Amino acid sequence: MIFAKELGAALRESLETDERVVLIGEDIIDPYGGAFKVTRGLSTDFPSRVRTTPISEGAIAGFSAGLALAGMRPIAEVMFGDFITLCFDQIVNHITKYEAMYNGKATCPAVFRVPSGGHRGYGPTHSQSLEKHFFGVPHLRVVAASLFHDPRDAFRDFLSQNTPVLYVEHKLLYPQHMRLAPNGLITTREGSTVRLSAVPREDCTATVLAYGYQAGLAADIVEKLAVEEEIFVELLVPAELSPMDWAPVEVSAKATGSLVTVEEGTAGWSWGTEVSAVMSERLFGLLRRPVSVVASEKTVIPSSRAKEGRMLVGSPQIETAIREAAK
Amino acid sequence: MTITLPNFLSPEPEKENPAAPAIPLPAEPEAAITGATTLSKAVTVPLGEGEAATLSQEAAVNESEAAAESAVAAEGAAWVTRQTVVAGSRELGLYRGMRFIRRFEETLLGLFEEGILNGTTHACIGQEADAAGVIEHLREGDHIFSNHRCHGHYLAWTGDALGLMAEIMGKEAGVCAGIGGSQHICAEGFMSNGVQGGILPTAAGIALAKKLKGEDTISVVFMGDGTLGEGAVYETLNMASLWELPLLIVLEDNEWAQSTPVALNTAGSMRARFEAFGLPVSEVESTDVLEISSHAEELVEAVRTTGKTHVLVIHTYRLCHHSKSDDHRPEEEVALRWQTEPLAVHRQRLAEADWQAIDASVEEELAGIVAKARALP
Repeated sequence: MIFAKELGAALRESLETDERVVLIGEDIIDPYGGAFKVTRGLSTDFPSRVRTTPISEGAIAGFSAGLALAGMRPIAEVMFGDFITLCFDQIVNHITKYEAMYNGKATCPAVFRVPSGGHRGYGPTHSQSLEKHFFGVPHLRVVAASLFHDPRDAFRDFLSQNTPVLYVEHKLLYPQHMRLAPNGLITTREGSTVRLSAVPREDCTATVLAYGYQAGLAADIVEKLAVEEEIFVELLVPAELSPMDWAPVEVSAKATGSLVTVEEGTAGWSWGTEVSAVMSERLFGLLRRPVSVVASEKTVIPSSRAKEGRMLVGSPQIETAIREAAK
Repeated sequence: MTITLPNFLSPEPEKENPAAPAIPLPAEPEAAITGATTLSKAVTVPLGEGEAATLSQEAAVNESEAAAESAVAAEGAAWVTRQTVVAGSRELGLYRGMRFIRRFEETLLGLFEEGILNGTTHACIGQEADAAGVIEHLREGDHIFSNHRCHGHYLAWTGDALGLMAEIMGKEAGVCAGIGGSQHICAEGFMSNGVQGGILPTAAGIALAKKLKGEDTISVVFMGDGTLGEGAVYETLNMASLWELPLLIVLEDNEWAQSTPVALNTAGSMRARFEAFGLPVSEVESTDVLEISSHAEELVEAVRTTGKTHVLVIHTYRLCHHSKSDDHRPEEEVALRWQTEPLAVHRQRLAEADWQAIDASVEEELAGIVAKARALP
């Protein structure tokens, strides 16, 4: 169960079960099948509904808007998530506006898949996690793929509702095995939030909130600390990043008294700072330390492996933060 | 279930003498309801809980008992009376449509000065022939995407003057409950957005949906010359041509992009910009509704039969400011263009008594709409 294949299967299921679904993006048809091979095989079976485009992200987004307004279900692949900036006008001034500004007379359920994230040496413009710029956009859902969430569930959900979606796929997830039932950790689900810990919540001394690729790194650290040092923390992996389902976070952090957030995006004005603001309001006086926000350095992402490793959030930064928070 | 095409563009034969004094006949309640229903398919003008209050105010506003009587059901059914006035004549119908748009826009400008309206508006005064001449050839199932200067297109397509007036007044009964305002309107087969450029790929996406669904209807987008500066336009031209989409692009070149003349904005040839993508272009320099209409008819037909994108470039002129009080154009230039404004051009074909009767009926209808809209909660 490799994530890229599961995702491809989810897209295939979408095309098979819903005639309104149209896949649109650059280089997504066979034999190439997309820069990350997620759509391989689909254009052969659905030639009119899997459409390769020129290098025109603005039009990919705009065409998606029109398709969605006309009752179709576009799923756009933005080859590298970095290029989502070229769709920003469509997402902010068009797609997320229509339903609200037309007072519900139209809906625009476009879905954007954004292969994001670094650690592959692609450098400053092909490695970013730009979702922070979309958090808080009214009437937009930002959803993160992870190894703990079946992409089929995600796409079934997207196709059953009318809010536009930015679906963030960290590139390093593609070759990894799904971890829907990870060994060694107790796994429970509350809505779309997955809870992982080695011991019951009462015995945990911190809550770790992480999504996407970082969630997998954090899970490994949570397990290692539990086994090797009997440091017990609870990991929460949400799929919905914005709007957030705050309840699981609030309940967990209230119980553990300590909260760490982890994201690969750059520090400042970020997901973690919003989590921190909300939890400070809800749990004022109930946490034994300030919320700890782990994010990447506020600079460009270097191509050099060594420099990239220092700049981006990875296991070392996450482990340091968890150890501190669990005290 | 069906939406009504703009009635003034396809008036039903009637026995009324078009030249007769324009007394709007109080519609039969049932007929009015039919009219309201068909027009309001997606253009609901709800009266809801405020209905009673509205009606009592109505009675105070309208001296005519008949008007008050029909007002209940006739919300949004203004065309019912309109049809009787322009009975049987396409040319009178086109004139009434343009005259109505003109006076609607002028009325808005007056309401702004009065302080009744919030925000801004972009009048299409001088360009009414484009809306009337193109939309005359569209039919149920077609889709129009318009821009910030959308009132004329909206009125020509839906006839829902009360819904639009209420919208611009910010009333709950407005076509988008006062949220969209002047530039962001939605009705069956009609949408507009105030951000330039982005509506082009959106309209093309609607055309793609039509193609994938196997519909025989078309998507139409209105853009201005200023929008030629936006990159999204060219991405769209390329893909619309590659994918052979049933899209009609109507470029209204009104010579001025806000305060900037076309000469400072647009290099080379407008026509060649489209032709470079292999798109057939029809170009007309005119404010004559019949001339524009004949070009539009040909192109609409071509889009329908070939399923491919075509472009209509209309060189026209905006007679008023861009939005409000922001006109620095040479007065002589504007004055000269008033001599060839669409109503004056088209009037030359009509008997004076006919157009005067229409003018009078438009005034009366508009006054009623403004009064109703003012009285809405």
